[in-house]
Amino acid sequence: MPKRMKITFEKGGELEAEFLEDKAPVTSRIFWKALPIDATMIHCMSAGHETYTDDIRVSEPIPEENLVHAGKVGDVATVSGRQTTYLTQLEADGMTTLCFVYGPDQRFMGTNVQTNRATVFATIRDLKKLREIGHRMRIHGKEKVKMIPIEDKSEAAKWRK
Amino acid sequence: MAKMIKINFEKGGELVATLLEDDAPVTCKLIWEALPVSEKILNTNISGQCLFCDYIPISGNLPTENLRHFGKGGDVATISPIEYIENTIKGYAPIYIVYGPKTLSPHQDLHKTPIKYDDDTVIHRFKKTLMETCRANIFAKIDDLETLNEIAARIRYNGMEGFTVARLQ
Repeated sequence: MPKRMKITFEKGGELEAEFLEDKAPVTSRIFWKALPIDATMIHCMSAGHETYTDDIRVSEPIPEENLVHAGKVGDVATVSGRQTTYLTQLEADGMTTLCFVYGPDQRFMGTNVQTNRATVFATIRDLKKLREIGHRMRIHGKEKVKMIPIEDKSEAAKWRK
Repeated sequence: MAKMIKINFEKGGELVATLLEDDAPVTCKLIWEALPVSEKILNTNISGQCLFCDYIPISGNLPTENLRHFGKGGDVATISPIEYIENTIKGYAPIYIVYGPKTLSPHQDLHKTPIKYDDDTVIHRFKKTLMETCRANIFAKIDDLETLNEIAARIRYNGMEGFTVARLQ
């Protein structure tokens, strides 16, 4: 059974993301190990329908796995320090980025000009709730989020029905 | 003396912009005639460090004047339907306020890791979609970049707010 995490938003709403351990095994392991995570997410200003945070402390550099340039709704991604200058700096500080794609028009960007390919390592299935939260952050600004691991198998089975 | 406009924000702060009548005479005239305007303003999600509003009612056709693709902090711009046909709303013009420069980026307050911008970093470019770029008419200039960046950071962090653009007599 895939590992999952629960994401709770300050202004309401919860999402569950399922790790893509087959496609991004190292990144999934790094993020799983980093949980629980408290961060502030904000809407992007160059990448379209995406919310993100750069405040994720990780124990090792993010590899380039399951690389995607134009994200799909529900994609949960991070970006290797090899992709753009700021991410290299972030990696050197032991941090990384985390992005949620919530709408159909999105591409991963390093700056307003430099493009990225992101490591998509998890997926969110409740797209209606994800879009509602994404649009809320677009209009009303940043929010604190808490991410915790889901380890209860009975709860997982219920969710998968 | 050059004409000036003032931009007041719902949650506080006032900016003064000088119209660039020599570089963009028709655009300045159309915008001047449209004032005062009260609307909502928001940070763009495709163009970088830039606030925008799509609903400035204008009475004539916007030409292409003083065209720029990359905005600089303090630039006040609009986009002619010639550059922006898919996004144009009949009877309305968009307004864009570019903030920056890099050293005053509001990102510095948000992230635990301060961003060290380098020469590669482009803070803003005018775009009409996520993929397509466009050029804008720069028709006014804001000199008080410190106040502009404070207001821009607030809108970027906390979301949309009301604003009013009026003639400064």
